[in-house]
Amino acid sequence: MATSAHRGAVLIGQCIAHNTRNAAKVRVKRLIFDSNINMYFPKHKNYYAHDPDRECKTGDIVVIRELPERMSKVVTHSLVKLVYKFGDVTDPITGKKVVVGQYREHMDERDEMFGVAEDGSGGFKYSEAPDRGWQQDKRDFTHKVGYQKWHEFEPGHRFHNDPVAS
Amino acid sequence: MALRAVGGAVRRAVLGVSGGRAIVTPTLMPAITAMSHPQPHRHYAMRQELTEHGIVWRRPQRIESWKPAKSGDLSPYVEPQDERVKAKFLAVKEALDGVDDVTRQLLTLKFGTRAEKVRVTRYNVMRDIQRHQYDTGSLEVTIAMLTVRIRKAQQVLLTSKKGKKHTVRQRVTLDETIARRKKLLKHLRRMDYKRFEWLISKLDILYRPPPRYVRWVTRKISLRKLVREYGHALRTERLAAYREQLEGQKKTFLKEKEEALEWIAKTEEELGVPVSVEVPGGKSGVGSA
Repeated sequence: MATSAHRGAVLIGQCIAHNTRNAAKVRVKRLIFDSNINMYFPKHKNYYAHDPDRECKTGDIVVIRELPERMSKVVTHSLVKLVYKFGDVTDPITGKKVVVGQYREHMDERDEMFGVAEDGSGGFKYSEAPDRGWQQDKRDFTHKVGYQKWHEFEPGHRFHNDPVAS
Repeated sequence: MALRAVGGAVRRAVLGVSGGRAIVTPTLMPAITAMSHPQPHRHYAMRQELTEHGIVWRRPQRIESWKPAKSGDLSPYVEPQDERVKAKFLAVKEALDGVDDVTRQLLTLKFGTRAEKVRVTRYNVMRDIQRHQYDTGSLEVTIAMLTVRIRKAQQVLLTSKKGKKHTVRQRVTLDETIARRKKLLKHLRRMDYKRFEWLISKLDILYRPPPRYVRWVTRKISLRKLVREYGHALRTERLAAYREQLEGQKKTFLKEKEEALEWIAKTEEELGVPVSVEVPGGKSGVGSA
């Protein structure tokens, strides 16, 4: 059967913001062939992978695998591997941290050669930076689903002055 | 429709709420300014059967997109100190030590133009953010410079006594600048998350995701959501109360159960039948064969 052959196959996709607890929402992109006009069309499908420790952040590239039976109403997959952290990518060949096309250490070396100004603070240091996510729920709300503000809630309500609402 | 509009205007006049162009009072607090001059209030007929249950919808006040509350600027523009030397003389710092007091004062911001003051703020922020001493074009420096520009323009717009009509170009430019900064922040977040987090904490910018769906905010749909939320709250409350009630009954029930089981065990023993029940008070029954 098609389903049993499909079961166990791994999928790769990107995490997106969601409101479910204990799960990560993963968007898997595919190209669907339309035989009528001999053309591929991009489609996506969302899956929920079991993630109780909230390892995945919005934007991460992850590998998921279908569970033998669904865990809950929505959770059907398990997390196999976190391939690329969003904005914090490790090069798989050299194992070094990269920023788009550059190694971080090369960037640091270059900055060091130019030198810091007398009255300057030297800017950002990777070595002193805390782990990704320390601004979460403070100034960075990308882990939540944005929505339009639709009601003025009373002070004390959990949605009173919700920073996610715009 | 015309009649309704007139009625609204009359009601507003009676209530004393200033309609039309609001007179802006000069305030520097970013978050509060949005509230300080109320817009003309819109009146909605609420559904009676819902109002009885305390479900009343209040339409959120529209905040203009250039306002700090929307753009995510949590702290206002920082004015440089008057004692600071103008930015263009910082290159010849050594020469400044030799001059007399009057000349020195003339070179400070006390006698500087508005543009010179902004330049010093820009210099301060750049020195704080930049990667090395010649860095003027990296992503974070660009974002920081845009932030200075945005906050200055917001301050000017919030304090200016000009009418809405006379500040159109300023507001449009400010909107465009905010959009550009948002885009650059998005790119920085994708490229270098740690640097992005450091930058938003340094500049005190709130970065929120865009709304997933954009729909009209209507009374009907909002009331529907409020009713659903009310139902959820009611259900949890009643379930909790019922649970508490059952927990209260548990003690007496267990006591009764113990007594009944003891009686059964006793009777069965008397009749010579194997005891089929297990008495909770230590003495265990044989169990039915």
